[in-house]
Amino acid sequence: MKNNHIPRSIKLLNTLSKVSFWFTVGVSIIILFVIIYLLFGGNLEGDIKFGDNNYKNFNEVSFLSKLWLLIITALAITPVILITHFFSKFMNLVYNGKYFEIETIKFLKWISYLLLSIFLVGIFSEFLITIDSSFNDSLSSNLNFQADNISLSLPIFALILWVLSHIFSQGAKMKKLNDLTI
Amino acid sequence: MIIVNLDIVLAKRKMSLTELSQKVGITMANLSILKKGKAKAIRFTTLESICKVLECQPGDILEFSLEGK
Repeated sequence: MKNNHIPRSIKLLNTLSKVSFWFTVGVSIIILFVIIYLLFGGNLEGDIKFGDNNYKNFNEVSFLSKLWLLIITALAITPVILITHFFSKFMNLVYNGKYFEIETIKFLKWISYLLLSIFLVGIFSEFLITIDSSFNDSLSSNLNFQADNISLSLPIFALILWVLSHIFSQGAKMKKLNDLTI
Repeated sequence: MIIVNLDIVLAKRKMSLTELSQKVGITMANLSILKKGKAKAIRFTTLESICKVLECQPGDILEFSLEGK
């Protein structure tokens, strides 16, 4: 059922969500290929900081650190791609007028879970970098875990989306009841 | 449970579901839901319209039973 009174902003968001999905996929592939290239001895100069250690070239970075970088990046990229994919699907359903459908709500719920997973990956990555820098600095025996860079906005946003999805699911139940009222 | 006897009343009046749909102004899809007993609720206005067209009482269309049909 196509809604004829779809606002232009929804049409625009629907198109943007599709574009952002393919853009994210493209960028993610490039990032992963660059990290894989660096992992196997690729050259890339710059100010590189891993924990407390500073490097001038990725050649100087230990294989383990680069492997952590690949794992963390892959872990961070996967939910981002999935979020853009689910958002694209969600917008497509909204564009088609399916506001209070179980499928639409399901995508909203998945986006909230994935946002939370990004937050958890953030904590995990901070933890891994701390462990790695402790291993590199062999004199240090204390595993100092710092989570200064982790923002709480993601879990809060995820929680809001999760609550919204529950409100929408009640709306979907009411819509079903209304549809079966003759 | 509530049993819908719309098909019986329609047969007695020798009226098709399409004809009823046109006279009452309810879509065939909605009338079909009602006839099959899948409807969750029926509005008084709908019931009134159906009774008016079929010249019957609500009790002729709806029946209460402790057991399933």
